[in-house]
Amino acid sequence: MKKIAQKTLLSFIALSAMESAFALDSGAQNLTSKEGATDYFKMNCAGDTDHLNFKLFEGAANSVVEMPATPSQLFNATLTKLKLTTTVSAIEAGATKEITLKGGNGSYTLALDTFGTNLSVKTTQTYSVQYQCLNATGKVTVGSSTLTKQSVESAKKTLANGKTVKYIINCAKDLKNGNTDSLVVKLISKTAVAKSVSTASSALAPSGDLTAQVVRNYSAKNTVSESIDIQGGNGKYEVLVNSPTNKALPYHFEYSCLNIKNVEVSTSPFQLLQDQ
Amino acid sequence: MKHLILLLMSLSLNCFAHDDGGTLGEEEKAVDYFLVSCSADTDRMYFSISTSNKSPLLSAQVSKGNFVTNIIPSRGGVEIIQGNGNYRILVNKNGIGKVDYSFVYHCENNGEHTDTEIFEYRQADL
Repeated sequence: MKKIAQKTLLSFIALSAMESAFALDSGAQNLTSKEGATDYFKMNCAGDTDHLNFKLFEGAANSVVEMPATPSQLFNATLTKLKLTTTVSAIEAGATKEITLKGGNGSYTLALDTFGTNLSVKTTQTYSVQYQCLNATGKVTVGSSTLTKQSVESAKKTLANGKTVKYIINCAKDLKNGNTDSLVVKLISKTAVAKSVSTASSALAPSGDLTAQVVRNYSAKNTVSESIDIQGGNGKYEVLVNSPTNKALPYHFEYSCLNIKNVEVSTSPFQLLQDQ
Repeated sequence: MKHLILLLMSLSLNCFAHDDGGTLGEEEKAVDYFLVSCSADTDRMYFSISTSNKSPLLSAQVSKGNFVTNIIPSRGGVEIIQGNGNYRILVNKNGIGKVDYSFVYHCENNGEHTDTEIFEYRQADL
């Protein structure tokens, strides 16, 4: 009995985590051909919501909603010294990675780029760097850079999509610990983990027989198939679904409360106020 | 005498339906937003919408509380029986392209028109 309760609790926690991490799907809805038919929904956005993202799909929803893996923002680091090179690829948002190059004393170049990142996320990535010049037994030698002092984490830096940034790090002989054998650089991604809105769905091409309006206070937007954003902060958002041709149609929609950085915040299940 | 006639004309206008309208912008997401305020003695609001544009198709949604109805030009005049207070009207279309429209509205009770006021909240960018 206790095990069942634990499993139920774990399932609930997992489900709650999924709900907050991805856009919610309305599931299968049906609009009838009754004259004036309108389905009416309300949903609440909390946290630091900036806007609600909404997309309407004609046709039935998938019976099992598959949450696609969200491509993350990432950057790559390459450390070079003369003909020696080492690379660490795909440092994802929030991750910390180390890169080492055995190049002895001298000047190293650290290059960072965003090749392979999720370009649909426009947020500039942020990161910091820490480095150490080490001798063959792992003891610290002399290191310097305009980036930051040796063994001290740098200030937060930014890297926009498609940009490359380079830093010079110098390693030298230490009076006590001798020559440098290698340079170790720690790369700390400080980019928030963005959750892009899922658009994968079993949807038909829009016929124009179905429209939806999203309303927040005194502003409203209409959509047939475009993904729309309504900027209204925290609070209740309304969704109306209807047909300009009085056709009976199955449909579903996806919605997500997003903050100013387009990262999903608390999105609650919708409330159905009128089902026609 | 001339002034008296003008005054009577002004009063009599309140007994007839009110007209309004506008043009929806190019974008699919365009919505014009109106609130019609009906006085305390109202039991319903009358609404009809029309356009000379054939495409994209025009619709309006009139709502009050948790009740909403969709009104298209071919539906003609609709009585929305939701009492006094604010009725919200959203006007939109099913695709890209400008649409000119006009609508008729008034608050009523037992066939008599009651006090009717309209407030417009047009979307600045649409």
